[in-house]
Amino acid sequence: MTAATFGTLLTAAAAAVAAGIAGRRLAASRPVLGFTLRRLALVVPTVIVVHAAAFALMRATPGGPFDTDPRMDPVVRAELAARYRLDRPLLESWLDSLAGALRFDFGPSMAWRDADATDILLSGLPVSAALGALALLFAVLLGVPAGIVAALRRGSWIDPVVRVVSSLGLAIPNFLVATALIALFSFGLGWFPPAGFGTWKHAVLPALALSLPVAAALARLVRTGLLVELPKDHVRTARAKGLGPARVLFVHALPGALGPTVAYLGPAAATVLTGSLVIESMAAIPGMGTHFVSAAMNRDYPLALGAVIIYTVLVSLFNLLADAAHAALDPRIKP
Amino acid sequence: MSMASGVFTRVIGWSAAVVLVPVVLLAMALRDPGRADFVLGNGNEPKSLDPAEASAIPEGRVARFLFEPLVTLDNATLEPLPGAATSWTSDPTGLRWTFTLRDDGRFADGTRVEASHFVDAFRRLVDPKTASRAAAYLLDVANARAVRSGKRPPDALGVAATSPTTFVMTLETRPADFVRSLAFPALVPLKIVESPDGRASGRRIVGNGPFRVDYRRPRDRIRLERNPHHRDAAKTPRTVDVLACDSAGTLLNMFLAGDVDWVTDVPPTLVAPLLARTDGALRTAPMSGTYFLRVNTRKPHLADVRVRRALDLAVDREALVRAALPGGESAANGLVAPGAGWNPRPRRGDPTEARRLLDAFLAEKGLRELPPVEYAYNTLDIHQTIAEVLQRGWTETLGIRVRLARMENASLLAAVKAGDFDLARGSWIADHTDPTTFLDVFRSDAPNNQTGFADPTFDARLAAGAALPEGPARLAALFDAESVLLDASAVIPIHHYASYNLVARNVRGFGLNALDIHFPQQFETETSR
Repeated sequence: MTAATFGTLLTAAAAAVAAGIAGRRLAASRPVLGFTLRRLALVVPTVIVVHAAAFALMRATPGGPFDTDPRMDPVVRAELAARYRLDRPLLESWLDSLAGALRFDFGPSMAWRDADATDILLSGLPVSAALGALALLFAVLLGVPAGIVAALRRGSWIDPVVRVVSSLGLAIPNFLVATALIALFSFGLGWFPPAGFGTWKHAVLPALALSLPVAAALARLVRTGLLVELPKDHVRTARAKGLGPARVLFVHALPGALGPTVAYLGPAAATVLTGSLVIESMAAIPGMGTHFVSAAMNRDYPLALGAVIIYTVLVSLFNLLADAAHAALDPRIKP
Repeated sequence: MSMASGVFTRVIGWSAAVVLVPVVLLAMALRDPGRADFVLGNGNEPKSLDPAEASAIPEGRVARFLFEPLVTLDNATLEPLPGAATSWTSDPTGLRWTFTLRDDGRFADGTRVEASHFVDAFRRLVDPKTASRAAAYLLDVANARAVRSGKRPPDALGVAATSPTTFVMTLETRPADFVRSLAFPALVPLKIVESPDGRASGRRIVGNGPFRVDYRRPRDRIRLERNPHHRDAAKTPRTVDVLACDSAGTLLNMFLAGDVDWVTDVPPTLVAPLLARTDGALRTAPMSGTYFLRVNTRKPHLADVRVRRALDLAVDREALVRAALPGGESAANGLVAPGAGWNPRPRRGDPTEARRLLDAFLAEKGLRELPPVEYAYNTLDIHQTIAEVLQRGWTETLGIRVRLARMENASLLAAVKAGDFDLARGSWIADHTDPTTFLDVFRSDAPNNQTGFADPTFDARLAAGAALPEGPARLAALFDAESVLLDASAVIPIHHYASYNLVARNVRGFGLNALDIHFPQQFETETSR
């Protein structure tokens, strides 16, 4: 173990402990800050556990990064193993890799020799994040109104239609949706290009395909939430006070009804923002979604671990955001 | 009212944020490069732009844009053409070769290409520290094996620059097809500019090809611009995009939309309709590559040649090719793909003989039936289809139970390497036109043999044949060697590959050949669509 590895591990542990203690101290005086610090302190042990599991799985899988090329001779393989430090004891490799992950430096990619894993991931993340944010926007615009209308018009034809369509949205695989969208909007109407990434037009179809399952889930969650909330006393009181239907809905019913939706959106946002293998591959989008699978297939350990760690950190952060939003919506929840 | 307006202001504020965030993120992520004059859909992201690591097909394709070897090949006939060298001669022994470089050879930075650059590049390839697989193409050069194993320093390699334009190579043995083999994409001069911080991402490589890298976006594209110092600069396209996209369906869509000019693979199910199109965009040709099964001769029952022969003879290749493959492929009558002068006799399936051999084996061993055999192949629809056809054939003809083991590629390769398989899918794509490229795989000492097949007769005949000069006698000797391998049925050839290229109508000089290699200097593109 090098001094740098030791230093990083020590610093990360110290930072996590410090954040945890500070969070506890501040719990009374600054509850939101204290809560945030305590949760951030948990990110470090989470990363360590996830990293250990991913590392163990990768190394336990048969075949190494330089075993897929049948024409490679043993001299080359040995030199590459030394260059990428695959000839080290497993424990040392694990600690080095963990320290790298904590520094956010995952090391040189083993499959793409011209680049470091961190650079590859950071060039894909903004693309996936932009596309994912657009998909989330579409999902909210489609799903939330659909859920509201279905709940308010319960018993009319709209409700079953929304339920069936949202079931389909959840059940139909992404690649079928994307194929249908390309057939209709690229080759049928000629509005959007079928694949590639460069102009805003390239983003519309993939974002739409990404958004549909999320929109379907949102519609169902909003509908269920509202159906629970609408018969409650405070909503009836608001209506009895003579408030308009829009105010009753948006100010009195919806905040309470959105609890499950917000809880769902945290991890869903992390998933959507880190990209999708299927959509990115079908639409030739240079995001980071493909790395989750291709890096594992190539046994590109640094890249695969980097993708997993970035995803872990994002899930932690979005769960934190979701909890904060939850607390803001529901006065009974204290951070 | 004030509370209400407060709430609505907040709602509007949040909604604006919800809309703005994706729009801003998108605006930051989008960088419109515009359409390049020529766009290649290249399959996987190249592992590296360093030709020393140009080990797979996508890397080789990019390298032909960025670098120029001593010799290039005619896209249609594969005949050697001048590249960085204008002429070459050998002494009577065929072991000392002198190449005269062109006077106007220039790197992309404008500096002159000299013989010493080839000396440095070839030494670098053979140096074990470079870890280049391409060293295999130089192993016949004097001292190459000693340098390779670390016994001699790289400058002991038999290459020399006797003047700035004279490059001399000294060989230990004369390989088949030597001049043509110098067209391999790794055998090129280059300059490496390491990044100041030593990180892989910052390294730049300067080549002598018709194009140079403008910029590279991982998993998206490599934007090339014309090398203004190259002699062909006046006729090459100004810009070229090399797209990293491994979905054949996606590239087909982009081709049909006019966004791509050259796609190197198409979805198998769409070959027939694309061939039926009248525009001739899909160009297919037989390829020098073979799809085969490895039989593990170390397994108890498979160690007996009668069992292996029975499995081999039970395969109806013609029917399999018709039923399972898109169109350009042919049934394999041998391991070596047919080509100039190599025309194997048709090897038809013989179910009766197969049954007889298996029965004889079972009777001798006192067995009622053969224990189940496992066939391992990697996850891809076409392999699945072929596996099912084979399984049905073996079950119907021989009454053997066959388990299909579908696994992801790296796992399959690991299992085969460890000898942990009965039958396994394999393939070999030729990188030069000589039959030894296929036969060498199954020498007793070859690392890719992996079948346990080790026959001194095969090794001896192969070595004797390979030592002969090019000509009918050599082919006949190698043909003899192959028959030893085929009679042992340690490898069961299934079919030979075909290449499928979608090429825009305005591209001329693309050529079709058995190696599926295409030098872009020979493309003539009328103004872009």
